[in-house]
Amino acid sequence: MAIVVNLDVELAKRKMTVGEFAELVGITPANVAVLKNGRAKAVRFSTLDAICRVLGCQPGEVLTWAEDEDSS
Amino acid sequence: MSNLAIRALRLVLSLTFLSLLLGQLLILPWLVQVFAEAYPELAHVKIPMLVVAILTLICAEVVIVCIWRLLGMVAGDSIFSEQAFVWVDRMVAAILVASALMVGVFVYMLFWPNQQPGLAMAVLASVVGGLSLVLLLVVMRGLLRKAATLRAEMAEVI
Repeated sequence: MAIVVNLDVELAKRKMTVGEFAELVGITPANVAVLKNGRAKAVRFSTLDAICRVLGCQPGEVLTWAEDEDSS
Repeated sequence: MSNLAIRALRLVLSLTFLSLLLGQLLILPWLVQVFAEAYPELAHVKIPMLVVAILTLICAEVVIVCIWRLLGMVAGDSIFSEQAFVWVDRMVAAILVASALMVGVFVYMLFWPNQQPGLAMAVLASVVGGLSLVLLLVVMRGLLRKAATLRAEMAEVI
């Protein structure tokens, strides 16, 4: 997946656990894991809104685009 | 679907099933007897007609069981599973069998010594009805497939 979700960095900065984060954002810890290891295929804007509010950051700080190595 | 609607539908399905059973056990044998007495030249068709009629009603009973299961899946939110498609396919198969039986009856009636146009038209109408139902079910099955695909896609959205 070319979109990288930098949750580990942001959570560490704020010393927040995955469980706390999941609860505040309103998604399951399983979905947080899906986001973190790049297996998510789609994210709702409402979820992104909640993530940015909880982390107090911009979407660009938590989302990065990295070219796939295997993309032609 | 509301609980009330589900229970009402289950009640209707049960009553229909019971009346079909009653038809098979009591009404059909009596009807066939009356028919054989009214048309003595056709008395020999009594047993084949009774067998075919009972088989057709069994097909209807299979359809009712399928509808009951699908209703249960709607109530239990498993209607988008592959099992739902199995039950829809069983329903379609049962109706196709019933239609085939009616086609057979129609052809059989062409060889009767005493032609019964009224009954023949009723049999033909039931074939058309059966095929229309199959058409409807095939279209609804396509809709179910689309809805299930959409649900699966949405389930992956975080």
